[in-house]
Amino acid sequence: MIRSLEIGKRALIANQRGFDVTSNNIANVNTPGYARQALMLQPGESVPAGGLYFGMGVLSAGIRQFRDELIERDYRSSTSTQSYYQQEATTLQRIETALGEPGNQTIQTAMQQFFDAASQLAANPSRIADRQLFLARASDLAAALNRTGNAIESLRSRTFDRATSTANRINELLSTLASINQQINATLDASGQPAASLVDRQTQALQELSQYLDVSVSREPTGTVNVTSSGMVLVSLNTALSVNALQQLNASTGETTLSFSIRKPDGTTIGTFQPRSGELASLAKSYNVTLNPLSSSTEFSIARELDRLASTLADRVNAFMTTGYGLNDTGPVPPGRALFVAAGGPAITARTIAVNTALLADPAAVPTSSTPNTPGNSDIIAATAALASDGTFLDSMTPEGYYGAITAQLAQIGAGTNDRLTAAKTVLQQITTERESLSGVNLDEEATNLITYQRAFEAAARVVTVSSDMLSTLVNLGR
Amino acid sequence: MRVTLQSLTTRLQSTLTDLSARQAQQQTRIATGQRLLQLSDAPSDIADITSYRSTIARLQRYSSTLDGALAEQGTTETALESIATTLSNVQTLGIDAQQIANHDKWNVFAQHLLSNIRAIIEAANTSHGDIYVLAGTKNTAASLQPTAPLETTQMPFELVTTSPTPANPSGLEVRFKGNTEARFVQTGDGHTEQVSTTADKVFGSGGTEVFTTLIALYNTFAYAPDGTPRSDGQLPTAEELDRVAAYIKQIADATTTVNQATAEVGVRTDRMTAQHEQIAEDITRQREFLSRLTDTDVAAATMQLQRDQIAYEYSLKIGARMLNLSLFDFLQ
Repeated sequence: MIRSLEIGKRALIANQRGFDVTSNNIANVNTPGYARQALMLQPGESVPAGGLYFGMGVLSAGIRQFRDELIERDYRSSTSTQSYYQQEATTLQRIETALGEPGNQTIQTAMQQFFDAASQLAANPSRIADRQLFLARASDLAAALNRTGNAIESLRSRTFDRATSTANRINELLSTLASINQQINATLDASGQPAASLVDRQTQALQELSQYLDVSVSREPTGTVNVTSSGMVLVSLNTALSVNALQQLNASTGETTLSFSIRKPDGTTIGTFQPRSGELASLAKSYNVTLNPLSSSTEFSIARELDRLASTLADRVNAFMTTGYGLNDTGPVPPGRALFVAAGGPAITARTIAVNTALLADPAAVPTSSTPNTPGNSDIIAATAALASDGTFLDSMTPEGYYGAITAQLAQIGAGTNDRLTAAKTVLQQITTERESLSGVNLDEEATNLITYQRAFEAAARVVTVSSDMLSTLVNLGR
Repeated sequence: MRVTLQSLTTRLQSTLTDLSARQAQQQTRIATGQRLLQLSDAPSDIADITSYRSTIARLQRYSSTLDGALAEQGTTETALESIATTLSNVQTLGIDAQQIANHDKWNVFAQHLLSNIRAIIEAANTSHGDIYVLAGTKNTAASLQPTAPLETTQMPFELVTTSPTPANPSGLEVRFKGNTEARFVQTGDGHTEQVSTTADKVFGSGGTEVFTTLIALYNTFAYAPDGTPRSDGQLPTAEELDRVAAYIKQIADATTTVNQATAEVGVRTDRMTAQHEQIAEDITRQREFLSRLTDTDVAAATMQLQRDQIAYEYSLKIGARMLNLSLFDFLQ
């Protein structure tokens, strides 16, 4: 009888635990990173009695989490890839916004209006109103280039800020992982397994980390993890290193680049690293190449191309203007007036191009003629207007052709990025589905489990009741 | 394969998000009439779009230039016709002066001739806007500074009175302050067109040869061979008659020259007009090509929007049905 009571008791406990595990699954149906759990049962030991061996009920062997490390690894990798292209797509979209493309008030529009005004002035070089219009259009063109150049630079600055805040979040996650490692070591269960909730938190932190970096995870038998990225150790047991975003200046070229250093907890720098995937890698590429006006990479740099356009336009126009004469110039030496100058910088770039204030103050001084005191001579301004159709302007293209090539290249890169992003999302969705299929909570399944454990509990309770009655009968024998 | 609540909701959310985004895109395309909302919508078309826009702008530029040039040709043609008519009148005057009945009226003919000379100068000083059409590239008042004390105006042609000489007893002289450089404008890719008629093409060498002849004729009418003013009834000599005949022939040649210059302006005008019309047609064609790439096909966009709306509606219905079903609803 006592044996039956013990068997009943063990059954009650096991089914109660099973009920608890099922309830926990239901409660965490929407928890990100949660992997469903199942109670592992095993038969109790067999005890000898009267020449026979009797089983001693059921024991809880442990709690199993349904998680596949290979799927988790693929999930993290796909997350990194998707985040990389997502960030790149966002940056490209912001560049399009800065350019105002596709739209009606763009640099191309300003260039067209500038050459229109030059052409009009070439037909009427002595007319002051046309000179004023020409200067106004030149100012508009300079302003359009300034606006776009400044917007690109502002985007670059925000990219660095974003990289810094991302690095800070990465460091928080690395600290969390190190802390979890410590907690896991302190709370291993009887079978040497870590607490499932800690593993869930660990998984969640790794998933979020993989958005920012390409991470490699090596898991110890106890459940602690070591995290590396691009060959650099970031978390080793209880120790978390930190990632820091740095702006490095090349003193000879004036170029600033974004790089990342790894530091020990005491602040010592142990090296630099270059993330290969994730948001941080995309931010680095944007800062160092796409938005960098001094980029020497063969990859597309919108800042560099805009600066080339601005400086070449200024150089070609000024080459004509400095050899020309204004309305009141009597010669014989050309006064050497340039139309475009650099304001606030040593060289003419998209951000510094400006119209010569001396000409703005005196439109009659705009050099239009190739000979002095011949206001009807429009050779210089006609040559300036003819630049619009000069196929040798830059890289065997006209000015508008070159700008069109910039926007076309941007469009191609954007389309390619969107395609890769779509593909990455599809892959991630498939892996997520596979992951959910293994680790996710199916409410119908849990409802079934609830009933199963409930019925088993009821049956075990019945066993205890009957055993108690039988024991009571034995005790009351002979009364 | 196990299907969990998360996988159902995630998939549903993703589908609804995509369909919403597509609907929003189509609505924007229909509302704005613009097919391209982002450069990456049609990367292969961007280069073409930029090229068409650039071509249209360039053609419009040439068209505008031709408009101005055509207007100037009109002004120039009117001035040249006036000059030719006046020169014809001078020819007639000279022929009338050769009639015996008019031999005693040469001082009267001199006055008529002088007024014709002034009329020719006035026509030669025709301006289009603020530029003088026959002044070459020194064609503004500011660039035509008079040389004191004889010159007083800022016009290209000026009749001044110098000291009388035996060869020029009146001392009259027409000064030309402009130059004979032609003005050009660009009317096509790599193509320029002359828009001005130079003074030497109209009036001969230096822009004053005709005026020299006219003044010489005036001197013959107004002055006797000894350089004194011709008196009423004073008859011309045979040598003077011969000179008048020679001057009339020179003036006839000058009239032909002016008519040739007028014809050149006419030919130029026709050429520019034809070019202008061709450019207008080119612009229309280029705009059509551009429209095919940039403008929304409203019918297609509307159909696509309807399809997306239907897909969205059915996704909502199916999602609602699937998410509502659960074993918990049936357990007692």
